[in-house]
Amino acid sequence: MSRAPERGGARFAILKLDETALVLPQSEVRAIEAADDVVLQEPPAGGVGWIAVAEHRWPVYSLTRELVPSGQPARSRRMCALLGTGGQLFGLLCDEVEVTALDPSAITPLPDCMQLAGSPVTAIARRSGGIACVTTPLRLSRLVGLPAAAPAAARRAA
Amino acid sequence: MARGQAWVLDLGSGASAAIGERELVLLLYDAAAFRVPYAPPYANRVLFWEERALPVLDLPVRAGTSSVGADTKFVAVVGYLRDGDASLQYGVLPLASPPVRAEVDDEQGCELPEPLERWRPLAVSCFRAQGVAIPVLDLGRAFGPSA
Repeated sequence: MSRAPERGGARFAILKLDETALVLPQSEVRAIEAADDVVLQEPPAGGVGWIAVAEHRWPVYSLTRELVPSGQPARSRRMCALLGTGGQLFGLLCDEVEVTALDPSAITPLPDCMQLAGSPVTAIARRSGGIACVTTPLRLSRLVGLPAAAPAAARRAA
Repeated sequence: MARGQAWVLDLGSGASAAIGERELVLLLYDAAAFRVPYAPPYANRVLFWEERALPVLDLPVRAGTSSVGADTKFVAVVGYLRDGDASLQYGVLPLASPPVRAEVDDEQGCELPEPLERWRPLAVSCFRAQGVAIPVLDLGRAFGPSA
């Protein structure tokens, strides 16, 4: 995990998926694990496997840089960010996680004509050398098809 | 007879459209735009201008007359009013060449011809210049949510 120089502003985590960067409030990233620790057997529907954290196991998903769910993650996805949606967590594979501060003025809502139903992107943040897409765990969970209430999702790790 | 000024835009792929003279704000060459995933194919890039993220709209793709954005080098920053919102909004239109100023009068007004029917949802009117029908854009609709 890289850590950007300290600056003012709220703390965010930036998850990198190839050239695509996703931004979430840092508090919504519950844990960061190595992708090697993901158990690939019997993956959840639309997912790639399971990760065990704090005596529970959570479904893990992967997205392409176009934010399309993929059952075959790219080799660059070496980390697994555990994201929270209320009491339900899920893992998202990513290349890198950066924790940084973002000035709220650097974030602008997604223009009307760029909005697609089901898109996880709610806003755009400008950062040096490009942009990052602001999202939420809830939107990502809908994108990957995580069931609203999945009893199997929080089974105790064997 | 009423006269008005317009800018005729070369949108590439053989498409042209016009906007009001006050709607053109700035012309840039080879400006960097950034791709946004999970966005419509006609509006999947943003360009930063004066601390704003402006949508880059490929109008022929939006109108359905082309499936891919044209190879364009110029971009026009345009300003418009959105329905129910008094504040000026901005967007970006890629252009194949710099816009051309045109003086238009009532006699040039025409119906949107059948080959341009797909522009109807984005156009407020149409006029002929040198024998060519040119739709006049409603930028609020063009940059608005897709139907």
